[in-house]
Amino acid sequence: MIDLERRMGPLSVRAWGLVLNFGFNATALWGLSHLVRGAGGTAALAIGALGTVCCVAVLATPSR
Amino acid sequence: MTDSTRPAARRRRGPADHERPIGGPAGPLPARGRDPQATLDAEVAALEAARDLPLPRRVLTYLKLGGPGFLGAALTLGAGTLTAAMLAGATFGYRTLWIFVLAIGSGSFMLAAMARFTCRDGRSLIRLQRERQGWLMAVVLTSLIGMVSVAVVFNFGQYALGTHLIESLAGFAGFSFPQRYNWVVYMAITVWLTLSYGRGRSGTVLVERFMKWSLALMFLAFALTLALVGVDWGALAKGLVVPWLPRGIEGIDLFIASSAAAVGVMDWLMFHYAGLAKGWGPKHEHLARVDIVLGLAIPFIAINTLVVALFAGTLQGSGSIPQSAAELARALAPLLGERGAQALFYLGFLAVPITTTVGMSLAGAIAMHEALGWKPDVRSWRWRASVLLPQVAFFGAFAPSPLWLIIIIAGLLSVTNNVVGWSLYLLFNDRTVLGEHRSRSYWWNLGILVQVTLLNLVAIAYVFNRLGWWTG
Repeated sequence: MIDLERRMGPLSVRAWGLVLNFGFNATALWGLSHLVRGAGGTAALAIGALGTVCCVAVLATPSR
Repeated sequence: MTDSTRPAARRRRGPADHERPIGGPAGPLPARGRDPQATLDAEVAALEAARDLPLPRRVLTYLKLGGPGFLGAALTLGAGTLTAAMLAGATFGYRTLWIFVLAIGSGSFMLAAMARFTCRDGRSLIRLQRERQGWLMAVVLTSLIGMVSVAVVFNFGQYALGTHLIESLAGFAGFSFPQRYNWVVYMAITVWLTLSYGRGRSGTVLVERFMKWSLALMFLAFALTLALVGVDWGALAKGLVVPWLPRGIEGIDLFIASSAAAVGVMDWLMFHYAGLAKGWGPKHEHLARVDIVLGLAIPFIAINTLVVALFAGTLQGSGSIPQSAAELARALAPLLGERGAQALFYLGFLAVPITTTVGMSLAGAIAMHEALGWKPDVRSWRWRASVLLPQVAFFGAFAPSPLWLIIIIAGLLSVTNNVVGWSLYLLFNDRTVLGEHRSRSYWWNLGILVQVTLLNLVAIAYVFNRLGWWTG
C-alpha cells in the first residue's frame, strides 16, 4: 500500500501524484489530437489514458 | 466582520482542536443582526425541526435558509455561460445538454469539500493556503488571478450585455435609452446591491433574496418564452442523458471547455466565504450540501437547458449564427412573435449580467482583502474600493472590451485553475488541517479528482493551442 502522505523531497507523495497525473493527461491529449487528425497517436493516447486512470484511482484513497 | 462580531459559536469552536488558529477572522464577514448567536441558534432549531417535516416543507425550509448556493448560481450563470448555452443550442440543438449535468456534477464534489471547510473548520481558506502552501498559491494563483482579475475583466462582458438589454427593453417601452447613457442605471443597481451585502442582516438577506428572485425570474422568463416556441421533449430528454459530441477537434474542445468551465476557483471560494459570512457551523453542513443542489446545481441545469432548448427550437439550422450574446438575443427576439414575449425574454436575460456582476464584485473584494491581509470591515474605504473595482468595466457599455486583457486573463485562468484545484484537494486530504473531518471517502476524492483532471485538460489544451499543436 502506498503511503500518500510520506514526504518525497519538497512535496508529499500525494502531491507528486497530481504532477504525474498532469503528465499523463498531457500525454493522452497529445495522442488524441494526433489521432483525430489521422497522424498516429494511438500509443500516446493509450499510455496517457491508462496512466490517468491509475493515478486518479490511487489518489482517491483517503489518508489514514 | 471584525473579531467582536464573529458568531460566538465559531469563537468557541475554533478550528481543528489540535491546532491554534492560523487565519484569525475569516474574511470580511458581514454581521448577522444584533444577536448573531440567537440567529444561528434559531436556524439550527429550524433545521432540526425540518427533519420531521414532509419533503415539500423541508425543501421550503432549506430554500429559505440557504443562500451561498444561489450566490454561486448567480456567479456561474453569467454572460459567458449563457452565450455558450445559446451557441450550443443554435449549433447542435439539444445534443450537448448532458455536458451541463456532467459539469455541475463534477463541480459539486469540490463545492461539498468547501462546505466541509466552512462548517467544520471555519478558517479562511486563502489564509490557510498561504500558511501551508505559500503566497504564490494563495495570493497570486487563487486571489489575484482566480478571483480579483476575473471579477474585473469578465465584468466588461456583463456590462456590454446588461446595457444592451436595457437599451432593448427601453425600445419596448417606446423610448430610446442607448448604452452610452444607460450604463449609469446598470452601475446604480449593481453598486447598490454590492454595497448592501454585509450591511447587517437586512443587507445580506436583501442580496441573497435578490439572487434567489433573479434566478426565479430567469427561469420563468425563459420557460414562458420556450412555451411559445415549443419543446421537442424526446430530444431534450435524450440530450440530457445520452452523451454526444461533434466529430474531431471541435468536439474535444467543446467537451473540455464546457465540462470544466462551469465551476472554478471563484465559485469554490465564494461558496466557502458566503458560508462563513452566514456563520455556518457543524450543524449547517447538511444544509450547505442541500444548498449546493437546490441553490446551484438545479438552477444551473434548468436555466441552461431552457436556453439551449429556446435556441435549438428557433435558430438551429437557420444559416449563419451570431457569436455574441447580444447578437444572439437580437436574432432570437423576432422569432418569439409577441412583443410581450420578447420583452419578458429580455427582462429575464437582464437578471443574468446583473447577478453575475454583484457576485463577482463580492468575490473579488473578499479575495483582495485576503491577498493583502487587510482587516475585514465592510464599512471601510478598502472594502468599498475593492468591491467597486469591477465597476471600471462600465467602459464595456460604449467602447470595445479590452480583448487583449481578456485573452491574457482567460489564458492565465486556464493554466492556473487546475493548480488551485490541486491545492484544495491536498488541504482537504491533510489530516493536520481538518483532523478527523478530512476526506474519508474514496468516492468524494474521486469526484474531486475528476474535476481536477478536467481542469488539467483545459490547461493543457490551452498550451497546445498556443504552441500550434492542437489543430495542427
